Amino acid sequence: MASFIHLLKTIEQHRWLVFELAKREVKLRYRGTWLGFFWSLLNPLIMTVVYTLVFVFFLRVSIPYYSVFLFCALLPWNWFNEAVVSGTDCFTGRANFVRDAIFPSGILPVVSIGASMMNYVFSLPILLIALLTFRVPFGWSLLTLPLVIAVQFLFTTGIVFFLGTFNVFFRDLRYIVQNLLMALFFLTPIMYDLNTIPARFHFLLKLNPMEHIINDYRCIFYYNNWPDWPDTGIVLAISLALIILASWAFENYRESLAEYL
Amino acid sequence: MNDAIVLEHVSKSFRRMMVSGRTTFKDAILKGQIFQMGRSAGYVEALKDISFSVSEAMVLGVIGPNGAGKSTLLRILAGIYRPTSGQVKTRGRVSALLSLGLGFHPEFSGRENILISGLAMGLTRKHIADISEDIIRFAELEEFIDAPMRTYSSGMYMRLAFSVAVNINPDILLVDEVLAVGDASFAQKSRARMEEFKSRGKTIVLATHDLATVENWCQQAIFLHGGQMYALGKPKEVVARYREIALAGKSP
Repeated sequence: MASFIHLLKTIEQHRWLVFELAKREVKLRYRGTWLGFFWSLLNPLIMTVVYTLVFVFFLRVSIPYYSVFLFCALLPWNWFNEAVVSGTDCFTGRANFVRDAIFPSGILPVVSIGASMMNYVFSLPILLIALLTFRVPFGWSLLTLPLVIAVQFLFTTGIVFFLGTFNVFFRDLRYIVQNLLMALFFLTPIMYDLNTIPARFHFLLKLNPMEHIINDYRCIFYYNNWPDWPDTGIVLAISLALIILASWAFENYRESLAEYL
Repeated sequence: MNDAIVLEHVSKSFRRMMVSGRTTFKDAILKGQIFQMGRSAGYVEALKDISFSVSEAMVLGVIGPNGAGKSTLLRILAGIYRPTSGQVKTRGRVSALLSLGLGFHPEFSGRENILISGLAMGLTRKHIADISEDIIRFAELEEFIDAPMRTYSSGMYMRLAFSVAVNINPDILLVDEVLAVGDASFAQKSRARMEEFKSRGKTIVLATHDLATVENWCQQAIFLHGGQMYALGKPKEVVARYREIALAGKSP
């Protein structure tokens, strides 16, 4: 708990540094490209078009407004995916900060997650345009979006602190993570609806916190409904427990990071 | 007089690493250490039971042959490494010039890196905005400050690093072997800036191979050899001891 509070203080103290670094990471990603930031809109858009083609026209899935159904879940998944991949590398990719300077390395995981969150937030207008174009009804539950984003942020923070720290000592982790994420993408109801799979497997899929988070997004944007608060509460509790554990692990290994990088 | 830095019985050991740098899965299985996160059995003692203190407004010279533990000592003072045993106390803001990299991001411009370093040191954005012109002018980089730092020469890199480190007004400045960087005029300028520093009551720790600098400029010196402190005291005496032991190639 002490290490959790210490970490919280570090991040609070350096919140501007987090902001400036995350901002620059977003800018850097598309530096030198013609379309620049539009790539972060274009990527999920193209993916949605391809999936819609396959699922609606080839496989004849009968989910109404399938592109919205998919798009509203694909965007936060992309954020999660990007945050975990870049977060696993947050210390190894910034060795000079950790090793050669007086630098609060505890903020680096948050920078990775923040940078990918900016991408997500910037792509939201496209989702709103899609809602309007396809005349999908939406309502006040849209206002709960920041809460769901916050829960996803915390859950990702817990994961990334672990992965980032241990990736320094065990560099296979990033490859393991990439493969796990790929598997998890198919095991999370993003392209399909949970109810299309046999009910006896539901509990297995529901063990995955991302399932509940994605479901919340879908409630907000697709079902015009409130998020599932009890489930979200459980995910929040799991996330906080993860962060507390991860900050303990991080504080324990913090000084060794500089030696191993 | 107040002590700016106090070290008590500080030791630091590192795990010995393989050529490959880390344990691979195969090694881990073969040696049964899969859950040990790459910890290997061997240790190297980089510093052994070092104790000294430095008063405010003093310049401490740290001398010793390569591998003596100078850089490790500076990193411990900077708080980057935690000592394996012993206590370190530093008073006030610490600024460090540890290596050419100095936590600059090569893709960011010089100006952006000034902001990032300043924030990392705990300065406010306003404070950084106030001093960044001074930093740029001192580094003589007015023309290139908005170019990405990967386009900088190593001299430009180091000038900016030095300029950031001294202009954020630290109470303790740690300098590792960098006075020689830059041309003669910049070296002179940085010497003058450090002189001014000293006169304002700041503490400087300087690790160097330049024995003349230590003799002429430091008030106190330590001589490290193989991680042990062989001498501590007046620079002339410490340098003499260094010449006697390390340069003569004798084992002490």
